[in-house]
Amino acid sequence: MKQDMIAVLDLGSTENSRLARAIRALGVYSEIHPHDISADALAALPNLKGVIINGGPNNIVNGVPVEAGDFVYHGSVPVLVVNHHNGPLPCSIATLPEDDEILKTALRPFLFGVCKAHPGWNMADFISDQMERIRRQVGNGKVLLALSGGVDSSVVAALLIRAIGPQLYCVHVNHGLMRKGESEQVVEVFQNQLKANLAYIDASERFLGKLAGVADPEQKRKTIGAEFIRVFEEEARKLSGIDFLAQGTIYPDIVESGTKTAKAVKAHHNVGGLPADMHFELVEPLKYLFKDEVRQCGLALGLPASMVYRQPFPGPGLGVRCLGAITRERLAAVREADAILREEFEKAGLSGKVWQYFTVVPDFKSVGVKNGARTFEFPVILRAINTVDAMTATVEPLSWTLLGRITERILAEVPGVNRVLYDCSPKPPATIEWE
Amino acid sequence: MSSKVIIIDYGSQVTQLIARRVRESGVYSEIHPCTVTAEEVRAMRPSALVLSGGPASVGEPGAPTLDPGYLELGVPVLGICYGMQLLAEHLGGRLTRSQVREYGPADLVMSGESPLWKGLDTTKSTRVWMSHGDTVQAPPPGFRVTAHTATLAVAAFAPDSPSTRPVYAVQFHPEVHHSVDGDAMLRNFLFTVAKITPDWSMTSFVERVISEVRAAVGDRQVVCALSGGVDSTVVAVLLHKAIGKQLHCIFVDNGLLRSGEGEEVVTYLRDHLDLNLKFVQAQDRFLNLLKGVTDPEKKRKLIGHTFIDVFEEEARAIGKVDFLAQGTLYPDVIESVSPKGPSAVIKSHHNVGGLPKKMNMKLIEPLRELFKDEVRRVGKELGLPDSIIWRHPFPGPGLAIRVLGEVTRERLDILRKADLIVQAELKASGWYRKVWQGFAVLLPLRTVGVMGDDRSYDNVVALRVVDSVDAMTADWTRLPCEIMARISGRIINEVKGVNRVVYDISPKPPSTIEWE
Repeated sequence: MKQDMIAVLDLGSTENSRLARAIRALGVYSEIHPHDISADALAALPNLKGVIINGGPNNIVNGVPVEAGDFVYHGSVPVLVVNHHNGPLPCSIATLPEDDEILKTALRPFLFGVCKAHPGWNMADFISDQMERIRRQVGNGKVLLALSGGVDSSVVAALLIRAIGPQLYCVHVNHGLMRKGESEQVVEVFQNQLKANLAYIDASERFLGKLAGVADPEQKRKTIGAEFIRVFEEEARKLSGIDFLAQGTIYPDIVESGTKTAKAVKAHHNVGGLPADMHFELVEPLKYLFKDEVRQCGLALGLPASMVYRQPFPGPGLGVRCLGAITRERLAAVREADAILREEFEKAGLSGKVWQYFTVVPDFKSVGVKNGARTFEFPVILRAINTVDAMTATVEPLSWTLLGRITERILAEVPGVNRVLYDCSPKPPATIEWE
Repeated sequence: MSSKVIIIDYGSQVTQLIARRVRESGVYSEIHPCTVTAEEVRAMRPSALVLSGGPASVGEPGAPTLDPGYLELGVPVLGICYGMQLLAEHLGGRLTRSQVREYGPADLVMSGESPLWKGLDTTKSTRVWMSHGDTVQAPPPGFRVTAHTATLAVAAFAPDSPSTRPVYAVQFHPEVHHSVDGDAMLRNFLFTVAKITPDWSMTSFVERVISEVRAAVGDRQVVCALSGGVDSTVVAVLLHKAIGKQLHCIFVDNGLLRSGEGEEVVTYLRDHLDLNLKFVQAQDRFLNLLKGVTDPEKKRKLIGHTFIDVFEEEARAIGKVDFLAQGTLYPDVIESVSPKGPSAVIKSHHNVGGLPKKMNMKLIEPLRELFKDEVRRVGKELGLPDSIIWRHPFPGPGLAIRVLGEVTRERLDILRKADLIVQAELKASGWYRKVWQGFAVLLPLRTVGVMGDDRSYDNVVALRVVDSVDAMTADWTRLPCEIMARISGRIINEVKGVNRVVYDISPKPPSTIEWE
């Protein structure tokens, strides 16, 4: 890493990420490290130009004050203290400004005046840095990647293709719970355009078979997760000489799993869980990037915008949006309705403005009337929410005209559906997903 | 009653609107299917005839035809849309078939003199509503074009001279609200062309019904089932006025009522008006029978049958009863016309239709001539409180078909609490009287949510608010976002066991107003 770096020390504030992102937005690379970082570890950080000790209201754990080591305060790099009382220091900010622009203005004198940091953090340099690192780490080895088609794994794939080309082996498992056209796009972009080694595994039948009759949401997630590992493992065993496993870990994954008080609300779906005899060394080239930076990186690597700006999609896919025991009929209804919703949002200029929007099909029917005769069919639920951090979410107030059009299309085009509902519930007390 | 307009129905979706507009002008009107003969119409002694629109194309196989005798009755005739085309064809005009349907607003230029335009500014165009395929190319001999639009040469025609028979025709739908001057045109037909005296009012209706009921009932006894809705309450008050204590009302609390609504009606009728009223507490009987029942049709049938059983037992306890009074309305009476034959049954209807045969009683249906808005005006005339008069329609099986899946006391309680919030907020915001119906539905599933740091599995409530004229078709109400947010916010915060609210944004068809 050639760029100058500012380290943010985590004293339990919820604002560490926002602070680091503001610093990066000013063109200076920044990382978050635990408050009890050792003197050696701190000294080993490349091109460290300054340290920010970010205090806040949460800096007492079990009655013990959280504090950075003395050496930080007395070291050779300048220190800025935010919302934290300690010792006589030249630089301090009482509270972090809420407005990001004002925050940046407040940080400028420290970054460029005191630390003399050079604003050299940009995507082109990041990519060439990472290519070099990847080549150094991997050598002539082979790298395996589970390519889901989501933003993170797609960007990892693009980066690795550029760095090591044919040494990368991508496996795309279509579990039958993908959105309309997604697997097709993965094949088109990675196999046809970027010429990657891509094994496309259509395991739809296998997943749907395993899921038949499974109604409990947690059980569904576990079934999907376990089956995914099994399919991936089988593919991995067909390839010989694999030493590395690439993963689309991103910075918030690391920062968030580091906070000791947060409870896991749902079982996370990722590639962890491979059997013990398959040890791979991990390749995680995006692990220091925030989500928006991952997207910039993807664009810089030439991925299509529709892939880079794809909405967050749960690992179990449409499986958790086809409520209760999954059936083919309802799965098809969720998929078709979702495609209509996305198309209409696109037309209305809302894609990219609304954080997440999707459809849900519950496992019950209600009465309707078609051509003078009684029908008994499923409803489709529309969900469109905005959030900053996915911890809380607000309902997007959509125009009634748009909702009317979406309803009309769903009722006309999706078989087996006779009712459309709009979810008006914020998180909390509801959640973004329904299962 | 002296004046009467007969509307011949050729199957248009909006035929009922013609009858309502005519009645709003103070003239009684009836709708009859287009199979009614001229002789039958003559016997009704009409003051004028209106031929409605319809979906067919004149002359195609199976299309309804015109009984030429209609034009020999000596009363003025107004043809609307399909009615106009029938008249044009019969009188020797020229029609053009069209595959394309013109549907929506058009600007009408009233280019020829016509008594229908009386009082209107004919120097300007007026906005009208079109819904037609075929068009009239040339008016019949003896008639002249009185209006056109940008796409339509003959949008209306009228007799050329006073000696020609009084037949008028318009291609657009004056009965629809979107036709800005439609009301004035219909009134011109009634009062200028047909010279009818408006004598239809709710005061005269009430007087007439009271004397008719007294004559029919004599000193015998009448029983009436009260539901808590506006129709049966109006029937009860009307009959009470006519025959006093000879009326016996039975109110069955099936445990499926809204919060407080049954009590309000009972208190008003029994304590305030001193009606003979039996309030039957049958909650347990209904709820025990509903245990484990999830099929909507089964629920409806079970509730219907149990209601009849309870009602019969109570009616028998009264002693000798000769009449059963029911709140049947005009829309239930009108024979529907469909070019494809009678329409399929949508739901097994919940009413006491099965009762008279079984119990050997004669029916009294004092409201069978009235539309819903007229029933409300009668209620006003009779002094009923607004909270009862403007009460939304409520289904016979009550909340049982709004608790989807199995009906339990616990789930009914949750729904009642949510529903009370919906009612309160619609009333507070002034929307209650603007919409046809607004209510809550409890869905048969639980979804994940967060409560503090923990996850919850709680219920989902759906909000259903619709606009409708006749409940045959309906559209979801575009409630302002802040009202939606207030209702859903209150339900989520105040009703224990609910963590999610959805808004039903489906029109009928293909959905229905109720969910089961």
